[in-house]
Amino acid sequence: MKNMSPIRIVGFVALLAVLMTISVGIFGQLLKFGTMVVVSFTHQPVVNPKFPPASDLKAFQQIINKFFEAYNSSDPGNTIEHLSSSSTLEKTKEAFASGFVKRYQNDFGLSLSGTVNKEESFVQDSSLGAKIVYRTIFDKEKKGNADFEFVREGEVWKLKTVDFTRLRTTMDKSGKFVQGAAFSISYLIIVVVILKWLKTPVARRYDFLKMLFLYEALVIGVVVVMFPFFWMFSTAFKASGTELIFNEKNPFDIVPNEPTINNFKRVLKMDPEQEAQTDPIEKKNNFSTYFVNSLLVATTAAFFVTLLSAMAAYVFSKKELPYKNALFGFLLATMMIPGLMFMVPQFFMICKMGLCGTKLAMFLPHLASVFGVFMLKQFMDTIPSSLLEAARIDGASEWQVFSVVIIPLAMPIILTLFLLTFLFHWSNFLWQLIVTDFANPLSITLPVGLALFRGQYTSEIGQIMSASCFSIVPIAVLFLIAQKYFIEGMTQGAVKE
Amino acid sequence: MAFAVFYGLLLILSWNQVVSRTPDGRTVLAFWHTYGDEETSILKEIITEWEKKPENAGWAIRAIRLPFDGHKPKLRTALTVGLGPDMARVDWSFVAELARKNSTVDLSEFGFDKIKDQYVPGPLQTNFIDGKYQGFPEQTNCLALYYNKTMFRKAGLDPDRPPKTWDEFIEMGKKLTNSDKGIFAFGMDNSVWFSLPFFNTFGAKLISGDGTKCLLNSEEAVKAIQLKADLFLTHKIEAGAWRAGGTTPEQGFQNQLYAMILSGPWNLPKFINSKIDFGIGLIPAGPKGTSSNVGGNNAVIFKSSKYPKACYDFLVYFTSPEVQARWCQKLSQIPVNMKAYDLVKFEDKNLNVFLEQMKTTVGNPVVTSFEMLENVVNPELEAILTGQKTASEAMRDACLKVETKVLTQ
Repeated sequence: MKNMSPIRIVGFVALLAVLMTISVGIFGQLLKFGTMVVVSFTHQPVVNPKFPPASDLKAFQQIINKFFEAYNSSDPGNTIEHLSSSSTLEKTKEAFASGFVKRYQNDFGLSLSGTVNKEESFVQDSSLGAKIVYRTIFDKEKKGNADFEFVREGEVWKLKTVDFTRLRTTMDKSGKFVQGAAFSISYLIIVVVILKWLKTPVARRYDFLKMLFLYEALVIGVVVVMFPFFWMFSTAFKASGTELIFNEKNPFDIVPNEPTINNFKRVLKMDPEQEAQTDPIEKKNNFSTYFVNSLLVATTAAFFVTLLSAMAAYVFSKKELPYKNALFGFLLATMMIPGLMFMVPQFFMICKMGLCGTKLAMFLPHLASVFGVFMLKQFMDTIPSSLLEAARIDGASEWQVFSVVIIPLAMPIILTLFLLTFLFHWSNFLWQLIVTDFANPLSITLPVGLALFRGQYTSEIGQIMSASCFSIVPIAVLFLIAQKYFIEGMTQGAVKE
Repeated sequence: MAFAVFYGLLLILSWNQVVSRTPDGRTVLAFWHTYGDEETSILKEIITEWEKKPENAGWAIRAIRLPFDGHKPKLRTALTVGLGPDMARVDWSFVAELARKNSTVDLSEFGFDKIKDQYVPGPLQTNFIDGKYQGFPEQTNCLALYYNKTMFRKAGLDPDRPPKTWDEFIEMGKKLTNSDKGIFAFGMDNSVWFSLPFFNTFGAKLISGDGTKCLLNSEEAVKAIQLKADLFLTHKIEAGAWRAGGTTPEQGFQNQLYAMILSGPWNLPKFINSKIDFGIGLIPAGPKGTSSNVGGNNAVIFKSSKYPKACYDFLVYFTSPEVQARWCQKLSQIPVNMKAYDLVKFEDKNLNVFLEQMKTTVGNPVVTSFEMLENVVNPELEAILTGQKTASEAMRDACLKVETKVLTQ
């Protein structure tokens, strides 16, 4: 056996490169996200940047004036009365000012040094005189952008206004560390992988490569699946009005630069203004109430639907009764009628029962689920009747046969039905909207409550996303629990007739 | 077992005593609205003031907040079953449906004709259904032209001078467009409501006054829609923002890809947060000058209410100049009452442009279901833009559909 196949080496290096790209990308974004969460607690986004202190401005003005004097003397007949400039903000005032002056010199041909992006700057004629404007593109390293306006008063130029449009944020400052950390972690992983590769006997290196490839493919799959969730979490931290603004250079860089925790505070009604609320009913009018309401409605509904459907399915599947098939066919036929048709009559009946605006009304009409009965019956048909007979010979009562034999065997499908029903009620907007009594926040459920964040023309996307962060939790937990039972049920139910 | 514990916990958590809010023997008037958080708190102040007046001692108004997204189905079902409120704030387009289904009170029996002239004509007109005033204009807005000053500067245009006419708009648009870089002068929505500014600047009516004829194929309407289509087809200054999956005008504007969009005052705070240097101009003028559409909400009183007069009194108070002025000053909204225009002072110049634009509005087409009108006409509008039909063909087809599907309702 040859000890080194060049193809294998090339494959390994290629896979390492892919691994590096993936891990830098993932850890970069994850670490940035982590930093962002911390920053969102400690730093609020700058809404109105402060005007620089007067002493700074004076020093700055002197630097600028020197240049303008030189400019005026070189071109005595100039007509410029008004200058405005927009330029990148550097770390120190002097550095900025000299850079700024250089750009003017460059533009007027007084000096040869300095760089300016010609495309982004221009001279504009107006009735008052020439106006010079610079535009600087924001990029990752230089986020500061300041607009300066100068007016000539007699012989000197005076700084009229300074307007900062964006400042270097805390996220920008931490950006280098985050990137560094992401690279270090990635290098560490690479080193570990290389060490493992070296430890692996040459004969098994091909398998090692296959495994590495498999894992990388799986990781990419996970990234694709998790990206929308990541997007949701990131958007939840964006300030109102900035949710739809993306990084020009890298649209996948979705972690906000100026994060805020306000969306969560508003959703959970933890704003100081809102805490001052004295009305006991209004105090209850918040997301956590909606959440508990929805959890109760969905759990109760799912539990009873599953129970009732299982009992009905057992009878239809294993018991003899006259016209059984015709009855079942009739039940199935009702599935053909769209549920929306029943909405108004059902609402009428519920209100006549005096249940309008109660939690019971949210799920009572949906307790009889033909779909559930159908699904469970189809599964129970596959359970061998001999098992039931064996139980009966051992002296099991009818209820025991149902609860000891049927239910455990049908657990996977029962859990599936539980999940489906839970999901249906967790997100059932229209019916819950209709029966909700909005005067009583204790009857408002999550899907309806989430709609309150949407206005006629505008939606508070950040708030909707932060509320969604909470609303996916029960479903995620349920799936994680159910997953275990699915597999268990599958193996236990494998019986041969 | 775990399930039982969890469920027990849930029950305890959700166990709440329902606190009754019916006050001290006063008669309760239910007012369903769709306001946001800030608006709701100011509404409460106004209600308390009204209740404190000696002549209103016997009344209590219970303001109940619904999500805007669901207010139509909620009201439809509640009214069908007879559990509707006494009065409600509804989308302007919903008034016609409610009125024609005989749910709303004709306001003239309370003397609305005497006070109607104080309201802004555009929003007022959206309540005028089949010869009767069926509701109060209650909150209003319209579209105007947002433009990005930075992009104007870059194109060598004066950032304080937005286009005044459509011709100027096209001329400036060509300077602003740089399609290689994905930068366009204009991004537009292509629905009927968003096209109304075009129709109105050409003086085109969509539906005849008596609500029986479709006028979409009139000469003015075709000209208006031709201009709109040409922005994309001939002049190529529009980005195709109306396409499914395209960058929406709002998003394009926020990301500095579109230099101009038509949008309403609701986006002012948003765009300020986005830190864009923008200004607002009037809708460019057509043959009939500048004009815009009407959005917002109206307040209606339902026939099922036992106390329509008290509701009327409250809504008159709510839309009175002083209350409107205070409401609009605090929330930066456009008053519906003409007299309130003199009382409000906005520091934001941009908002003042909207006030000016609002006075030029002429009201929207009155149809039972505006959604249906949108559903029928929008595909025809799109057919023009995709080049499948000419403007006159599409408008002729649209008219046929409108007359058979929308006006017969």
